[in-house]
Amino acid sequence: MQLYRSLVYRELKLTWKRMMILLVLSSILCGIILSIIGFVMQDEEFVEALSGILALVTAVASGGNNGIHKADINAGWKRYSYVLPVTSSQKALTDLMVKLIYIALFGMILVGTVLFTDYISGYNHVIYTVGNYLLFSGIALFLDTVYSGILLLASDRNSSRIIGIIASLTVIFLFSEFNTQLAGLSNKKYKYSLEELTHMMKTGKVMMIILMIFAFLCLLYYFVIRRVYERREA
Amino acid sequence: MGFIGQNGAGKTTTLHTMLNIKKTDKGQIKIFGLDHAKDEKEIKKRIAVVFDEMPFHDVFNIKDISKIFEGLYPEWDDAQFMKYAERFGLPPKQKIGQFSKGMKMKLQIACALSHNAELLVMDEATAGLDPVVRDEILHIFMEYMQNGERSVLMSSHITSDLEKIADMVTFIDRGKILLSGYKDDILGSHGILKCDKDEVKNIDPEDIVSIRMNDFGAEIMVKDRESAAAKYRNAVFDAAGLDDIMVYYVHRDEKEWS
Repeated sequence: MQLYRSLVYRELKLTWKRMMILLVLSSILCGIILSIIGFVMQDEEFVEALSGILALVTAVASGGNNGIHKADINAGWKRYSYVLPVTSSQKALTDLMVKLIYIALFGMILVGTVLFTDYISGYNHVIYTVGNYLLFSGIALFLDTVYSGILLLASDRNSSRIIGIIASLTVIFLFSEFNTQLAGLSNKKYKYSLEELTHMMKTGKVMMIILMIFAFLCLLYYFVIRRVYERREA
Repeated sequence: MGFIGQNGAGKTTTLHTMLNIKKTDKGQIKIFGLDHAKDEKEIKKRIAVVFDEMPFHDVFNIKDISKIFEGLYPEWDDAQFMKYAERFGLPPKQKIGQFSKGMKMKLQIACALSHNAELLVMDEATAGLDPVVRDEILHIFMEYMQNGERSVLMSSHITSDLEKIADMVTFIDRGKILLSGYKDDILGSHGILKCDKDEVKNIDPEDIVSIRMNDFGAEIMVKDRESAAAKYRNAVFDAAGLDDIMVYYVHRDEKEWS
């Protein structure tokens, strides 16, 4: 347990500034959205859309890349970590724990904001927003799995630049591919899908499915990162 | 044990392979009688490593490092670490990014010496440090080894450091061990025979490591100084240092060089 405490402490210490900046930006956005909702609280569809945007922004901030892997490669810690009595599983689990800490922290702020807007507007969007948040966090986590999985192939500062570019391009490609697929749906179908999705997001069943998807993506992150840590230089 | 060889000889590659940073193509490595890959965690609890470059992030300070390491090693001795930090003059609250190169190296060494490691592995740890800091660090290593249950494997091309502290020396070139044994035996057995250029033909090639030719004559590194002195009674012999041995062995294929 003490091992994880040390490892988590190290990662939090290295990432908290970046994450706090994102948290502040997200909070500002929460504030703006709160004030908008204050004016137009009678329109439920609009409130839903804003809650969705809020969930998307906080999810990208918390589930996305936190910069730890690049910092470790550049500082030489990645190589040094191989001489420490820490296994690849323990390192990967720590990375996942730190991710989940930030996802939980950002999630709590999001839920607090939504509870407050619900109180003002009289609507109930908590499950819908949490569902969206977990889904978007999962997608951000998946993109970070791809990015970190490629980035961690770098062993030092020089190779991290080139591999970092390759990793970024891969993520951009995946993201644009996802958007293309989404745009491929006809407008009518898309609108229907969105409406249906919004409705479905409020049900317990869908929430369970989202939770399962999220758990699967967490496991995927863990296994990919562990596999990359297990890899040794040729 | 001093681990010497010229740049590119394979010192770092050997250490990295031993530490399972690099994977092996074939063969087996045993440390403390354990397999270096299968028993990696067990081995790494018992060893400490110092690299030539600082592996800690600039934003940390001594206290952060202490908090991180106390969870990593079951035998971490925080009081010992703080004692070393104080002795090395490392300010506890200053960020590592503001440390000098010597201070950073001392911090790495303080970490390495604070978890009762049985084997301390150092890869060019004294390179780039001034003689005063190097001497201080070597002194600390000698102290560390005094209880007789700890060893240091020190890779370096600064042979003067190894002449000061090493009991044994291994010399590698192009990835192969050329010499390995007690330092005093190696220094005692090797010698530089000085003679005229035309006397070189009288020297048995079996005795020669390589020959350095210069304007004044020839300097021949011999493997067995005692027997060579008996064979070539009129020749002049100089003692060989680790530097000389390294240079002559590197040129062993050319035999004659200048």
